[in-house]
Amino acid sequence: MSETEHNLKDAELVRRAQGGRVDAFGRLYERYLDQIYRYIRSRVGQDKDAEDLTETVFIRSLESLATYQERGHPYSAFLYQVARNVLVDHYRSNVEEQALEDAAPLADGGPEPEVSIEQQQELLLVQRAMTRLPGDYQEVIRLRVVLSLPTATAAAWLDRSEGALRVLLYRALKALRREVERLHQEGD
Amino acid sequence: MTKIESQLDRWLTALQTGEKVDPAALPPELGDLLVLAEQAERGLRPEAPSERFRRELQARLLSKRPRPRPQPMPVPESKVRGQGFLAGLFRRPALALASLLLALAMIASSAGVVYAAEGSLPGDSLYPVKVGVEQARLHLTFSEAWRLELLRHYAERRQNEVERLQALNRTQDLDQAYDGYIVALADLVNELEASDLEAGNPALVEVDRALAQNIERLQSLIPRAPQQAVPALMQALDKSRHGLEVLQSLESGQSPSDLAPGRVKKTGTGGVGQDGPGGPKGTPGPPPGAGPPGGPPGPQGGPPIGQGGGPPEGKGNPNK
Repeated sequence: MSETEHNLKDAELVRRAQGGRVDAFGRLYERYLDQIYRYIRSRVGQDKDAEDLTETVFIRSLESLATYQERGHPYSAFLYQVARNVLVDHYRSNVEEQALEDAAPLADGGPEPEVSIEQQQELLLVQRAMTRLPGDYQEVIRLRVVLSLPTATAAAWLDRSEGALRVLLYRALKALRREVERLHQEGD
Repeated sequence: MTKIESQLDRWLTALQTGEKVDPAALPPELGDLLVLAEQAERGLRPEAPSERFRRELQARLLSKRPRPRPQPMPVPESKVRGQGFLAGLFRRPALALASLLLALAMIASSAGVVYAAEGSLPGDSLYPVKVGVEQARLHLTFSEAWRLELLRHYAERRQNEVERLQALNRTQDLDQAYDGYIVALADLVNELEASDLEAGNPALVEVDRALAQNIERLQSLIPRAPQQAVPALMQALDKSRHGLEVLQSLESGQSPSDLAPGRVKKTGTGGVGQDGPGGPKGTPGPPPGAGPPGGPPGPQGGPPIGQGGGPPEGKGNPNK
């Protein structure tokens, strides 16, 4: 694949994919697999579920290419919307699982082994505090902090301006700090 | 947006791009939040997909081709007639009567709640009902002109709610009210941007009037608003101005999508430093209920307006 092709914008890749170039969709897949998989993995408890749901997202997106209208938005924002819907379907069909906004599983394998017990407890506290936040606060922390998406990308995914996203992030982190403090007090 | 929110975002970006940041050198509140962000990232960070999964899914996708959506199977007429739930009810009068009474009771109680919710404000227990009814009404409205009319009405409602809360001095609920107001304005502007209505359409004229009036009210509200509310009000002002620009572009026959959403053209009239576009909705998502994505991320670099010197926004192209 040439360098030029590697740098093609989403819009051009979508156009080519719509013209029957499956390899163009492959480029979009390579570009966004990590982000979408990690987003889904942050919402479900098992790798296997995350893989199944990620597959559903990309297959649905591929199947809907014919009717997709390119308007200059990043394709990842569309994939994100599909992923949200796929997650909703998943939770509907697995009612015994956590509600969508309550799912904040541990990072794989739990906190890193090299951190001290005290630090591990602090990390667990942060995880628990996350589940107490309103959905939009959780989501902005998930995208901007946990997945480290750039502000512009997170703003596009959440359909907000970058300014609004910064405000939301600031409020969300402050709320998270309050919840962590509250959990500390409850533990005392 | 105030300075501290921009600073937080800038320092977070710096952390994420591997710059050495000493939280002790930052203002205490920022330092705390950055430490917390780092903990959240470490505690919740999911792993990347495995190589095996990556390869297998890619192979499956490459072997597929986009297919037209399957058409719904025609239902034989014999199945339509006389075999549905309602037909069953009519064969059992007692069950039909009980169902009817139950339905009437539910409708009566729901209608009462909906009616009571109409006057609620953000923070009230019935407020979600009010917003839910609005959304339901919007989803059931397919005429573009009517949708615009509804969205304009909702934006005005949100503004009234802000003003009522301010008058009642319910400052604890103002954040939610401002958020709702900005979202309502954004929805209205997004609908405008996706609009195919022709210039002069009464719905557009009405939106034009409402936005102009909105700007006047906001401008009079800002000097009286509490300090923490000013950024939200400025953002609302910005959205309203952008809406007017979209209308102007529709009238002049240009595509509204040429305008960067969420950003007014540089006219020197007090923008709010929204340093990036939000986005119009507009990519119809064929998957069930898939809402269209937001707007383009815009340039992925550059510090916020008026705040040079910080680390660059993001890590370059997020679409790596």
